[in-house]
Amino acid sequence: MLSKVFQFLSSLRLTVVLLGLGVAVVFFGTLGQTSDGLYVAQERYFRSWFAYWTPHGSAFPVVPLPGGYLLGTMLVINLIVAHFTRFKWTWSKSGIFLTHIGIILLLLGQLATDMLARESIMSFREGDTRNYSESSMDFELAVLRSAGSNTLDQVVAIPAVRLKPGAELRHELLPFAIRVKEAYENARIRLRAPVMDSNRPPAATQGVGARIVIDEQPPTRTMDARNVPAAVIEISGPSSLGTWAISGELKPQTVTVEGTEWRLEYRPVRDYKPFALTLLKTTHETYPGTDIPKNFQSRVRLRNTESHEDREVDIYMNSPLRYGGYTFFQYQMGKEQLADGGRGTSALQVVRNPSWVTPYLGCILVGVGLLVQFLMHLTKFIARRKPRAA
Amino acid sequence: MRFTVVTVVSALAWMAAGCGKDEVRVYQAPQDAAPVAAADARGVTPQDASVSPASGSASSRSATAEASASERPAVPWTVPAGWEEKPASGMRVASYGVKRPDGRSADISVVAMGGGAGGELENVNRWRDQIGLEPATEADLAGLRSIIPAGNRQVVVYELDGKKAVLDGKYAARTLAAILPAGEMTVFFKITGENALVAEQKPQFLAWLKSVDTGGGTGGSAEPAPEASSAAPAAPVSGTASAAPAGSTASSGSVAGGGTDGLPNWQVPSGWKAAGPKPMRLASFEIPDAAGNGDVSISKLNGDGGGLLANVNRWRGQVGLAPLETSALAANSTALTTAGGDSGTWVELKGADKTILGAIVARDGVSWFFKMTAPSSVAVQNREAFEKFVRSVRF
Amino acid sequence: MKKRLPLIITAIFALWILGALMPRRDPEYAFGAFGRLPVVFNGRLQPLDSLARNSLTRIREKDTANLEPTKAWYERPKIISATEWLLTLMTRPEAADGWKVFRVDHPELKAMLKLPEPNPAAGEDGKHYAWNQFGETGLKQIEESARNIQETKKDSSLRNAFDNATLGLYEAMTLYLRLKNTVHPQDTVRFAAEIADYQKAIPAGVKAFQQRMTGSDAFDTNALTEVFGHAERYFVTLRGEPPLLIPPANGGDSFAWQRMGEALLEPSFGAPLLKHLMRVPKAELPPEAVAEGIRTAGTRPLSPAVGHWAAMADAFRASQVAGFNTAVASYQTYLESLRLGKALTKSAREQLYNGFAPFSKAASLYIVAFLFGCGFWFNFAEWSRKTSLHLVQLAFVVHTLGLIARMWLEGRPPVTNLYSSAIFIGWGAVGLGLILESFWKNAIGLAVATVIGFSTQIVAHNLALGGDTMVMLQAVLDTNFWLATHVVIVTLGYAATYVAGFLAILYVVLGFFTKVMTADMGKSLSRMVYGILCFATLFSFVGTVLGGIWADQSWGRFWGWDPKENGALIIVLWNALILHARWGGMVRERGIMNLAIFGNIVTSWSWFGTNLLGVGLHSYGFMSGAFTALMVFVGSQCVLIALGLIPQANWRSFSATASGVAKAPAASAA
Repeated sequence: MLSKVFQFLSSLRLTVVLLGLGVAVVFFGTLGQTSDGLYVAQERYFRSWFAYWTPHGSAFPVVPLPGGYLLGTMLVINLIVAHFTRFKWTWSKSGIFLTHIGIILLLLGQLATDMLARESIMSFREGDTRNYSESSMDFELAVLRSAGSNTLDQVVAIPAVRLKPGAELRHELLPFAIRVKEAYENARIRLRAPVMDSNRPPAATQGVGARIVIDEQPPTRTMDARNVPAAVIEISGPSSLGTWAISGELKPQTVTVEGTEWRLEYRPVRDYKPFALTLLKTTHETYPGTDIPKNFQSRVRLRNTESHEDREVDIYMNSPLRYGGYTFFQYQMGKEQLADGGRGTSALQVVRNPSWVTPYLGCILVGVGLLVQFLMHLTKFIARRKPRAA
Repeated sequence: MRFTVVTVVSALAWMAAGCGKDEVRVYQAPQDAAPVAAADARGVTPQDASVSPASGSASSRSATAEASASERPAVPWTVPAGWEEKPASGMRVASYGVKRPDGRSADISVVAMGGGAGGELENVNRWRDQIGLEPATEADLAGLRSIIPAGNRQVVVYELDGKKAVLDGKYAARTLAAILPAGEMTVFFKITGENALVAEQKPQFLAWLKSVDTGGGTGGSAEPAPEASSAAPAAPVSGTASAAPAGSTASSGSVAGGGTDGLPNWQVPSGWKAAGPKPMRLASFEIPDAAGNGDVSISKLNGDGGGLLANVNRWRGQVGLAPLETSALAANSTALTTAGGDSGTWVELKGADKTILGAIVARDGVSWFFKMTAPSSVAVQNREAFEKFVRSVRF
Repeated sequence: MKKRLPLIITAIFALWILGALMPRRDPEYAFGAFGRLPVVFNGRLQPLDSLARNSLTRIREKDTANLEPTKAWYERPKIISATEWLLTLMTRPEAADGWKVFRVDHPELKAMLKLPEPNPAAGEDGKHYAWNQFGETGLKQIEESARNIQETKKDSSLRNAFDNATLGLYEAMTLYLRLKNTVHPQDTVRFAAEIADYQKAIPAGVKAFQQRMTGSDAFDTNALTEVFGHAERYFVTLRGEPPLLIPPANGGDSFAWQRMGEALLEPSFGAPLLKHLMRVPKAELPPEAVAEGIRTAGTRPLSPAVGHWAAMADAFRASQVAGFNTAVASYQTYLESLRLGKALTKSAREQLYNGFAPFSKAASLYIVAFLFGCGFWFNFAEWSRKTSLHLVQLAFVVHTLGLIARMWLEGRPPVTNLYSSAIFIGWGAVGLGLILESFWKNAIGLAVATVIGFSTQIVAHNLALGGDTMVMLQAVLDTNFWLATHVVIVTLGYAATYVAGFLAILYVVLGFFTKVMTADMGKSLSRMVYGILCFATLFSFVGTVLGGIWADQSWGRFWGWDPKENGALIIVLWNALILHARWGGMVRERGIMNLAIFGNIVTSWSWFGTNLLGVGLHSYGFMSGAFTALMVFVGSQCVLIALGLIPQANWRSFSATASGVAKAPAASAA
């Protein structure tokens, strides 16, 4: 019985089926991007165990598919089991062996990247200094209080996913509870117009919420826009302190609870670094007489007070800054401000990927393996033909 | 051996499915810079100007967030030195004060109101009244106002020099007021106080206006004033070398020229004159007449603009008619279809001396308002032309 | 004789190709010399010849202009070169506006613009129309509908054929207008005289301008008005963003070139102020720019190039042949006196390259070679195969020369955009075909080489209708290292997969429809497919992985599931699948062939389909024409696979009798 299982797991037939399914998943996962957007499609097809593809406009899932995780896992199992059972090591198969090890490494590396890599954005204007980067997708409700010293804040950061209507959030460091009244995945804030909005009450009773209304927006799926969540929460210490509107579009608001000031800020999830970057200068060049970008370049000053480092670095396309386990890539640049003689803006993509080296290793192994195998075939083939041709 | 590898792989894969994303984090972090700067920092990724090097197309992942940053109700301006913040109250979005040891003072306020907030003349006359000036007429307005650029907008500024000693019975007052359309709102910036003090604060006030970050705005309601954005070479010499025919050469096949202004197409009846920019209005026309000019305005509001009834009643109020109940609306309005096939509501409101003819067309989540205000006799003569105009609209 | 025949035939074709490299003399106007003059457009320096050809191709889908489109070719219609057309458009627009150079095919679009139906008597062929025929209302209509489409259908996949035709015509018209105002405003009559007037007015005008800007009231209004009267015209020409015509007076690279309007306005306003004035609409000028502008106004003389252009324009407008030729020559001499580096050489070579048209020549050779190759199968005459082989070799040399010329002109590795990828896939496939032929000598390699070589040229030709094929690369692509490694290797992987697919098609087509296919030939075909698939797997995998490394280097993400990346991955997976299926004995000869044909679909989807999705980093927008072509191709491959699935007993070649008739001439070739 067990041997039957192993036979199945190691069979070439399984390999072929998995490869075929791989083609299908990648194909439908790519098609899915047109309606779902890159991020959602990635989650649905590649970072999942099972997936199904639904044609545009159809209400029913039409093509059931294995997800990327399932396929990857099965391929790795197939390869490993095959090598321990079916394969007999010979020199003539060394290329295939190398290739397979490389592929296992690539698959594991991709999995590790999925779990460990973090991407965020650091955006600033010329002259600004940043010691944190921000998520481009996720928001958090930061509840801040001055932590004794003058320069440090104590932050309790509640992820946006926890803010569901009806939820009551408590934390040992907070002397009050947060009750979520309303929550929006994507919403815009505008000043309430007393004349026009006579039928709409203000969003909240306290803070700026008393002067605004929240307009819910359909969630966006495209790459070039992001959702800005909003919520209405009730703060209740010993007694209720009223409701507050929070939104990614609003500045921090202050709540006073029993004499202590707390700040509420709904902001992109932040990742603080032990060093700071200052944007010194942005360069944005286009080809003459066109809008085709030729070069984006940010000159930044890198300061690390602990290691007493202080140097200037240029970051531009194909030339990132690697420092402290992070890599900073030139991502976007504000063109207009620069052209107007104002302060230029720049956004750097910040990536932390501890497993970044695995794909390199995997690729080298597969490349060498395939090359070896290919050359062996070729020389054998030529050697065989030569006598006949002569 | 083989089992361990397999187990580890699947365990890793399982973990990947959902790890720690919704945990509450606690950390200590250096304080952000001053709150204003923080807001500023978030708004940096420019919405339409940023170019992603990867795609080369003008796009920004955070476009939505940034585009709407302009509507952030928190103060989007730089407060001039010497202005003391006062608690905002009532209608006020923000409030500041300037005091002198000798007891002279000035009050600075920002008030945001929906819609046209009663019209320019009404507001100006309220301010005039506050400092003891006689009401002005519509014809006087042009002479009183000046238009200054602030950021990417044109702001209408009134300077009202009160002569009477209305303050504490000993000081004359002066008011500087600016009207800035912002999305669906009209925002009034005003400084009023002791005459000399306000005059002295004028540069600060104007600098403050220019610092107001209005962003791109939501509607097309705040287009730059046409005369200011006319052909470039005319700009440095506007008013002097009028020989430079601004835009006159555009007729030579302008397929590539010009920018969209977001307006529908329409046919303007002969005799109407395009009028200068007004807050909240996308376009204005003047119907010259000896008995009093007619005024045609085109504006739009997002959504239903507060509802059909509310708008009709607002217009009724302007000609001195009593508000209607919902049930009476149908009887007092008719349906109308434009050339573009959009249907709208047509109302005729005859007041004691003024008449308003109006049409409201809802389209793609936006309400368009076409309105003619004129002395009743003029309105009767131009009724047909106006109706034709509205019917000619094509989006 | 038969022994020498292949060489003689090849030599004749070689002479035909060399002939195209000979310089041609202009009987009247020196259009050749004029077309060699450099200009900066699309961000790159190019000869006017390229600008003319690319623009005319964009507008008319051909790089020559037929002024009498109703005449058949034997009636000798008047056909002029692109250069002559461009020169006329720039200097005598009233004449060019009457030429039928706009190609309009969509019936609804024609109806909307009220364009006349075909009527040979009235000179209407129903396809080509003149600028004047659109009329003022037509122009407005096109502009309005184009705007409307752009706004309401932002997602280009929502646009139908009519929308695309409208946008295409709108873009063609915009380009036409830009070109029209390149040398001078389109209503200019005597340019040299106008410039002289303007130059005379500058000193007083600048003085008045400076006084005015510094707040003085006592300035000469007339002088200011005079200068602004001119300035207004030149600003209008600038607004259309015409090509950059004026070289920097003291040498330098293409970044320092100016538009005619800039060159004319800079002496009056100074560079800093001009830079701001050009960005319309801008109500408020930064005070520093104004101050700097006032300071530098009137300090720079007019570029001598302006005078040269005025001389050329005026002479051509006045039909003075000698005057025009002298003006061109003296401008050429002036250009040589500038330190323009390689610009003039590059410009001249690119003109030569344009005239040589290596890829279309290679394409013609591939057709001829294909016919000779077929001849070999049907009467098995070795001379026929030899001729085919030599012709393919000749074509391959021309093809290679063309690639090298492009690489030299662009200063880039061979593949930089979709157009050059088509050229390169063809090149790679022909190379592989020649290698196969050197081993097997049965004309199969030649058939593959010629068919893929020719088809990729067709694809490239259609891609070139979009305009310039050598546009500058965006910042992220501006790296020769990765272009030379990742892009070249992955494109070779595409080429190899196609070669395997077409070998498989040959197997099915020859086997099913003819008696040419023998068991022996089938076996050798199957070995070819296997070998090529190994090669394809190696190249597509290494290429894909290098792309990942580039992505990791550029934006920190080894694999981002971008459609183009996914496309390459699918090719790798598919090739691996075929190889594993063969190793596992799951498929035999015919099965591999069918899988390899499906490989054509996979590759085409990766190459073109992913670009059509309109998402991701490699998106070029939706091309409805390309989509239709892709669907037709996919359909044809499915039919072939269906044929391949029919049991071999029903094939003409492998049926019971076929084995013994290997040498029988097949008189009834399909």
